[in-house]
Amino acid sequence: MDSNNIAQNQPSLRLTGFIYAWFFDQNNPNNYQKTFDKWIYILIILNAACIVAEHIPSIFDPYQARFHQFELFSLGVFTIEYIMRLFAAPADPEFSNRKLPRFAFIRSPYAIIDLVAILPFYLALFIPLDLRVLRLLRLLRLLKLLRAVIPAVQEFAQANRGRTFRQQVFALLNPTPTSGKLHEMVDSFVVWWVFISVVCVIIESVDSIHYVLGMQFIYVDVISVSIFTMEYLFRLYSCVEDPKYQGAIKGRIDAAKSPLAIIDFLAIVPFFLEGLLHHIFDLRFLRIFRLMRLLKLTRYTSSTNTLSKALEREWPVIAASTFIMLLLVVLTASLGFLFEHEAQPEKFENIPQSIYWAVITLASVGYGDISPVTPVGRLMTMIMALVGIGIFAVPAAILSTAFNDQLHKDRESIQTDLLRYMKDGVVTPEERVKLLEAAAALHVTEQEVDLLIERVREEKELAQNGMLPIDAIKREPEVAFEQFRHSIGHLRQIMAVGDAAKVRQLFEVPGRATDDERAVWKLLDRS
Amino acid sequence: MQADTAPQHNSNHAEPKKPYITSGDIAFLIFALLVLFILMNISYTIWKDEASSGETKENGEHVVAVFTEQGLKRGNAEANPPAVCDFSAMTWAACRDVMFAAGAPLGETKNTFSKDNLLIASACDRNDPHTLGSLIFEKGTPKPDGSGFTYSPIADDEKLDQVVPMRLTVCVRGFVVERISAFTF
Repeated sequence: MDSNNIAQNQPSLRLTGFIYAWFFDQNNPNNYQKTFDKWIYILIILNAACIVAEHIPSIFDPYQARFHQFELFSLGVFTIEYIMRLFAAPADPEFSNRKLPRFAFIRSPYAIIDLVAILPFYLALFIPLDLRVLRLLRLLRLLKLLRAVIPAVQEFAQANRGRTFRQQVFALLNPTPTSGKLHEMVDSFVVWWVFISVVCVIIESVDSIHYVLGMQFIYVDVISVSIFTMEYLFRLYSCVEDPKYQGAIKGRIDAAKSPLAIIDFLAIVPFFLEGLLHHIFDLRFLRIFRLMRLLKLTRYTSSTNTLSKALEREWPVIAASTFIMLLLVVLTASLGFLFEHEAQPEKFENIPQSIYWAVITLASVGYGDISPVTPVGRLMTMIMALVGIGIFAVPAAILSTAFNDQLHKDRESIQTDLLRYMKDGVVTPEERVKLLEAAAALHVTEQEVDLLIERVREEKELAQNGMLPIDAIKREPEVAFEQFRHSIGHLRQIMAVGDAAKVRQLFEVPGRATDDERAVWKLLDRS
Repeated sequence: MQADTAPQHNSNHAEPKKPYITSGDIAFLIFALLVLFILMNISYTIWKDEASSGETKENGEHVVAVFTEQGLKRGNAEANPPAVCDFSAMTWAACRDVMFAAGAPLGETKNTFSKDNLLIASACDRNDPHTLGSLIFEKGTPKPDGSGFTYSPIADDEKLDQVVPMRLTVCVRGFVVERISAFTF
């Protein structure tokens, strides 16, 4: 039953229906349900992070008051959410048919979880509860995430019924038609851990922070590596479901050699090497390779794909301009060595050393640690620096243009998809969601997609009526001429198949047609 | 869009029904568990070493506090209790041994990695595993430009009749030298 109908049919439910429709109705794409849920989930995760932080005295002690304020804020938000859900229960189709909808809501599993998340703190006002017990109970707030996870698991199980374990693992880790929301959650989970782990690697390099939080950084690293290792193994295990990687051994070797798999491998291998060999070798330098985890994000963004396609397409031109650039560097370095070696033998000692100076000069960096002193050397540097500005800019310009072109092409693919979807004349909500997903990946806004849908729809309607788009007619007199003739032919067809006598009578009825229309009819009727 | 561009499942409903899980799948799961076990083992070792490193750093902080306190008693005959070392007569080695002797202010200090490892060493040396978890005392020599000190291992026969600028570092997990603090003694 639609919540708006509920609200309209029962005036007493107008407010509950309104709240339900705006904040909790999952079937209404234009309400705030997704935004509301998103912020609630963020708050739950922040709560979990706070519980962890509260166990670290160096973080908790100076900010005790702030932690307490955040706790009160969270408690307030979760309480308001619970009250809103309770209030809106009569408008919720799940409970509206029950005798006592609100009581039915209270007894529902999700509502019990919501209550458990807030009740201990109200109880603590009356019963003295140990702080550690309270913290433990706050962890139960994580259960609130089940409201999102359980439906996703059910949807995934439904979509993958009858499939093998390996196919299900593949669907979970890769975007397939049966992957659903659970796959998106797995992706988000991995992405978040990439961020957390990389931020920790960066912060860890600050000695004073590492001194205090050494153990916490180890916890984060162990959890991250466990997640990434399992992800890597399961990807490798299920990759044979991809037609690209056929064969139990060969397929997996091919998959392991793919750039994304190599990145995944590099994200975990420093941990194992350091863990196993740190007594023998100083492998601290490997820690910096943990930043490679950031490259894991390339799997989740289309920009890298666009850039690699652009690079691949423009590779011959980039290679040619790079060759000219290298030529210029060698020439400048050689001339620099020729003119400056005698004057500054310690700085222009040999050509390799001069290459460093040439690159720094031509790239307009100009550290100034090595500079020419002879008049000829200076003149040559001036000329080469001016030439360098142009030559060094060429690869950047090529790459930038190629990237733009590729992005444009990718965006055009949305229009191709749209035309395919509109073969049946309509864009279904599912097709619209797919279009919006593609658009989001290419940074095209929802409004732009709607405009595109509208434009394609109009063009399609006109084409169905045998009419060309107005702007095409407006541009070309030839097109206008042909379109006019086509329209007259169409009118003749109508007259040929219609009952001419009866149509003539209709034209005689006053007010049914304009004088111009009547005149055209008579003209064609005569001929 | 992702769904459109993604590789499709290799399965075909028209094909004979495949078993939900095969022996190959089970073998993989066992392998994954084995990797997880190795990972947990490494993690436990790292955790244990990091815990010992944390205790070593705490030891170091305590040692610095005690040495600083003792240093303040230099030349103060009224101090109660009096300084443990006789600064005018003792060398660094003698004073250090008294400070770490049983019943002395630092008598309880132990190497947190292993009781067999050195409590005090002159350097954190990967080639000598016994130096892991040890305390390293260094003497500060003023830089010529007056911008601070250069630290080097303190000699056992170093006289203590003058105030000595010192620094304590500890040798922690991975034979990494962690600086605790500079102090005067």
